[in-house]
Amino acid sequence: MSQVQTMMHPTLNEEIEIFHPTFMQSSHFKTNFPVVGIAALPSATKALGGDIFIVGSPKHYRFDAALRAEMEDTVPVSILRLRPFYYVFNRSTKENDKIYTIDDPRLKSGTRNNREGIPERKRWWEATTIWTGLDFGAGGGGVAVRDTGAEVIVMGVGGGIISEFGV
Amino acid sequence: MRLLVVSYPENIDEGVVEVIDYHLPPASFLTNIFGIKHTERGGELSYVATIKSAYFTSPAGIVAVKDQPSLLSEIDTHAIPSFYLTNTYQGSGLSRQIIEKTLRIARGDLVFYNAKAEGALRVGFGMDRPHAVSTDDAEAGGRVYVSTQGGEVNLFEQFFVDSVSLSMALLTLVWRPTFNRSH
Repeated sequence: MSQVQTMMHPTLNEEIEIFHPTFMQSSHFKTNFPVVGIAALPSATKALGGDIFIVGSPKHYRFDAALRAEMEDTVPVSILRLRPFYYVFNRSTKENDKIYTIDDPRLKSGTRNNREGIPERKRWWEATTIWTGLDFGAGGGGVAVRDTGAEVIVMGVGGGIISEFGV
Repeated sequence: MRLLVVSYPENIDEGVVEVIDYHLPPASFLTNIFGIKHTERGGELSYVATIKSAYFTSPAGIVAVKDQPSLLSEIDTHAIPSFYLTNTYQGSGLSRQIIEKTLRIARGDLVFYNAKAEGALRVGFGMDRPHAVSTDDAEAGGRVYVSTQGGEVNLFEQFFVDSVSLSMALLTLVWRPTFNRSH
């Protein structure tokens, strides 16, 4: 059974091939505030995934209350950077090491019939607050990110203001 | 050529996706008597297409991928991209009001629109008012991140298989008619 399927195109009346991979949820994490904007950098070679950036407010209820009452309020907003990693137990130091790349030999901790096997691991996210403040007025809206090669530019929008940060 | 996709609710029960062409028209002007300098001024937007689907119940976030664009024809000269779209609510009317708003049962979903096949597919569901969506793989959408109003960020991934075991194939054959009946 292949993940490539053929079908008749609905309007062009010709047979086409559709690549149809299995798509499922593999991981999740939870913050203590509604995440209103998300952006991701392309994954580096051998990384577990691209860094993601989220924007939201721990005091989102203020934004909600201000909207209901049709009055302005100042809402603190945070932008976080999240980097995926695995925890691997280090037998020498008796501590957990953080692994950020898929080719790290420490991931080969062995599976049932293979001493060099790589077991399934839970994905963790290393969070760094790259900005927090009151500049967005009534609350954060969206976030965009671009790697220029020299630095990563993060743009956040909300409350009628666009802010730019270099990280 | 760069195409933008914009999703928005058209009314309370359904939404649409607009495809917009963002292009930079070249402008040239005389810099001095010896030559002409080519430069670019601000981009322009022009309408390309509107996409409707029963799966676009209350669109919120959208992200386009390069994989599986629409086929070009004599009439249609724009390759519309495939995209992922989040719906804040899945149901409509009374079911949305009672199940999703009053009882607060999370039923928001993630939909993949395959522009080549001109069809949509629900690929993620059971989320609490999903909102923004992004991918770190703009080519194929191998990893898609969905954020929710409940503060959760969900990672969805594509999984590739070369072949399926006989038992799995038989299970799929049994399961598929059941699935079709329930939809």
